[in-house]
Parts: sequence; C-alpha cells; structure tokens
Amino acid sequence: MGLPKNYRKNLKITPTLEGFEARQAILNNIANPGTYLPKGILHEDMDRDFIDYVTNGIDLVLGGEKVPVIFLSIQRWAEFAKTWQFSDVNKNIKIPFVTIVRKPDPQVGTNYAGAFNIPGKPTFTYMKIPTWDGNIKSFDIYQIPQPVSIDLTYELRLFCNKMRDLNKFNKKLLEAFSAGQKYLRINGHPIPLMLDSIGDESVISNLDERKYYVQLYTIKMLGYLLDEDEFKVTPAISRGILFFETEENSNTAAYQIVSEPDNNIITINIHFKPGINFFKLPVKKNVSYTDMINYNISTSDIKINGITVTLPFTVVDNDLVEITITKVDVTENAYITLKGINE
Amino acid sequence: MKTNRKIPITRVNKFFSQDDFDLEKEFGREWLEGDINIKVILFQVERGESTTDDVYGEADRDEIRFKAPVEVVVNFNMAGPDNKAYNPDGSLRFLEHGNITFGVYQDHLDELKVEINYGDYIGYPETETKLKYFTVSNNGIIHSDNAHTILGFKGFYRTIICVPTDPDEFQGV
Repeated sequence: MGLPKNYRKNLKITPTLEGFEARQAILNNIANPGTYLPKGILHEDMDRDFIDYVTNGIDLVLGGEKVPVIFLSIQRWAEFAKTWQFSDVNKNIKIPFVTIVRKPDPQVGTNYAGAFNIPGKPTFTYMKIPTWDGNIKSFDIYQIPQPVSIDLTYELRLFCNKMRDLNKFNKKLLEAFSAGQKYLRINGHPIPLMLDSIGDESVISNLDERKYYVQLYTIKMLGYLLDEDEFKVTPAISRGILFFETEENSNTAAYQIVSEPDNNIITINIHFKPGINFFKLPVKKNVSYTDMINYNISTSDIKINGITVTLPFTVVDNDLVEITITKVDVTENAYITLKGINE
Repeated sequence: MKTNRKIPITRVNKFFSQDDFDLEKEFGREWLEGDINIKVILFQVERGESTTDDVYGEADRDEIRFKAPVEVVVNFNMAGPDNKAYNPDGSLRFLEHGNITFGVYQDHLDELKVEINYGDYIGYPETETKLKYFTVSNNGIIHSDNAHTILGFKGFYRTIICVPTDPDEFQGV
C-alpha cells in the first residue's frame, strides 16, 4: 500500500537555528570555551585540518581498502616514516595512494578581495566580560587583532592503476566542491576551500616504462591567521577617583581696608573662610596698629617681614604683613579686625 | 601473412645452409640452457577468462587469470634501478626496478608451446622467497632483422622487453 500524498518521511525532531541565533552559534563555535576569546588559527592548524579532511572527509576506499593519504615535506626520513607501513618488499609505497603537497609559498590572502586594510595592526574589542573583585564591579576588555588573510595552495594527487579508481576519486572531489566551495571548520573558524584546477600527470606515454595514472587536484584554502599571542585582556576603567590636595597657606584670606581720612583711622577687616587660616598683605602706607578684634580664633601669629610682633606694631611702606590663625571651629568663618592710625 | 606453401630459403647458401643454421642454434642453446640456465617465469594471461569491467576492460589484481606458469630459459639482462619520485617536487621517492630485456630462442618457446604476448607477466625470482613481476611491453615477435638472424639467413631468437609492474596490478601466485 502506497503512502498517502504529502506524507513526510523525514521529520526534523531537533530544532535548527536560523537568523541571528544561527550567526551567534557560529561565533560561539569560534570562541574558545572558558576563555571568552576565539581560538587561534595558524598555518599548522589549517594543514592539519586539510589533511584530516582528505583522509577522513573524502575517505577514498579502493578495492576494499582505505587509500592512504600522505602529507609530504622535504625531509626524507619523515617521508619514509609516513610510507613504510604501505610499502612493498622493496620499501616502495604501493599504488594506489594519495599525496598532499602544500606549496611552500603561502600567498597574501584574497578573501578580502584585495582591498586595502587598516595599517598598524590595531586590536579591536571582541568582548567585555564583567568582573567583581569583592569591592568593585568592573569589566575586562578582550581585544584581538584583525586576522591576516592567507592563501594556501594544496596539490592533491591520486596515484592509481585503473580508470575506475580515478572516477571514484573524481566523483568524491566534484561532489565535495559542487557548491563551488567547501568549508572546513578549523578551530571553529569557517575557512573556505576552492577547487582551482584538475590536471593530469599520468605516466602513460612511454611504452617502455611503468604506467600509472596521476590525477592532480589543486585546491586553494582562503584562510587567515589569528595568533593567540597577540590577544590582549585589559581591565576597563571601573571608577574615577579624584584627589584634591589643598594647602592652607596657599590662599590668603579676603580682606577689606576702610580708611577714615577725617581722623586718620584705618581698619582692615579680614575674613577667614573655612579652610583658610592665612592672611598676607603688602603694605603701602605707614600705619600704627593698636587694636585687634577676633572672632572664632583661638590663637593668632602676626609677622612683619617674617618677624613675629605683638600689638601695638607699626608698618611702613613695602613691609609684608602675615597673619596665621588657629580657628576654634574649623568649619566656620573667622574674622579679624585690625585698627590703626595712619602716620 | 603466414602461408601453407613453403618457400625454400636459399639466402647465403653458398656459405650457409639450414644444417649450418640448426647447428649454430644448437651451439647457442647448449650454452644458454646448459651452461647459463637463467630462467624467468612466464604468466600467459587468459584474455578470455579474466574478469574485466564492461567499459574499460580493466581487471583487479586478483581478477587476472593466467595459464599455468612456465619456466623459460632466457638470455637475461636487467637494467639498473632508477631512483625516482612520484611527485614533481621530488617528494615520495621510490626505487624502481630497471627494465628486463631478455633474448629467448623461438624454438624454445615452440617446444614449450607458449607464446609471449604484449601484457603478459614475467616473474623473476630475485631470491628464493622474492619474486618480482614485470609486464611485457615489447614481445619482439618481429625478429627477422639482421640482429636476430645468422648472416641474414633466418630469425631465430626474440628480444623481449619487460617493465616493472605494480602489486596492485598483478600479484601472481
């Protein structure tokens, strides 16, 4: 009996993220759990994941056996160390196999489309993390530099003896890149791969030579470099504390000179505001002071040109009068009235 | 074209006859088979019996069927091994056997009732336990040139060229 129309055989029972949540999930995936920072990504990370993708992602099986994938560098012993388990009695690797060679000259990346960039490699705020030290609530600012783009070119070669094997590998590669690009999650970062070209290096033209197929796939990785050593974590400004240092002698008390020309009496009214206990006056006239009235003052010290004097005293032109007081109540105003006769 | 009508060969008959030719061959075979006695193992592929795919006509290493292996006495010559690399950048080096070039008397093949064809496999026992396989890239079936005759009388031996083969292609016995 056939299924009724519009019958759905595959139901998604786990919700899939969309929109903002999906983008946030990508960011969360990039972040290194527990550190609030993204994971770094360097050359070896990209190489490692590319090898892993070819080995386990493409996963070529020929003749019932998994085809070995060998990443090659120039060190001879390393090459032998990677191939000995797949070698024959003459210690030669047995066909079929896949080799990966990364071109040793990574190029300036093209995933910014060649646009110019901010010089100086500044760091940018990636995240603000609240902190609490028991007294002050604050933030730590996590900053990272802009990633440096890089293009890595990998040469993937299949060595085999049969056209059928070529077809299988070709099918897997073309399927993987059917969307034009293939994304790898390298340390959580989505990095695209582009299939640049497919070539043939088969050794089949010389009759008196061993024949085998070599199919070359040139794959470009549009990656970027993000070095964890360049990450910065700095505390944000949590509280501004302003310090005011005051010196009592630095400001002198306000004063008013009242002259009574009819009887030659001169009165100086001095007003010591809270925090001011000092008075200074350059003398312009010759005056003999005979009387002083205090308010809110416990002690006072009068100096003329630096010499302490007591009432009565006389000042002449160019003298400097200095009065230092001690208040009874420092939070209140204090007053002195000096009275003298103009000579 | 082979014909049933026999044409007498009378070339250089003033100095050389069929009897001389046979005698020379006997001397040579006595030296090669009696004194030198280097043998290779011939695996004649059963082309009709081997399993192949419909499109490419290729067979897996265990799908190639062959007649009973035959020991063939040959005038053996193996070239030196080549130090090569699979990749153009020099990585994945391998040491490849040199080609085998051997001469074999046509009479010897006729007596064994075997034929060496393009693509047949040749086993060469390097040691008591190590058998290396080659495939025939030139079966030398045309052997009427001067080098393969005695005084231009008739061809009497063939030069076979074999190139190394992969274990993935043929694994023999």
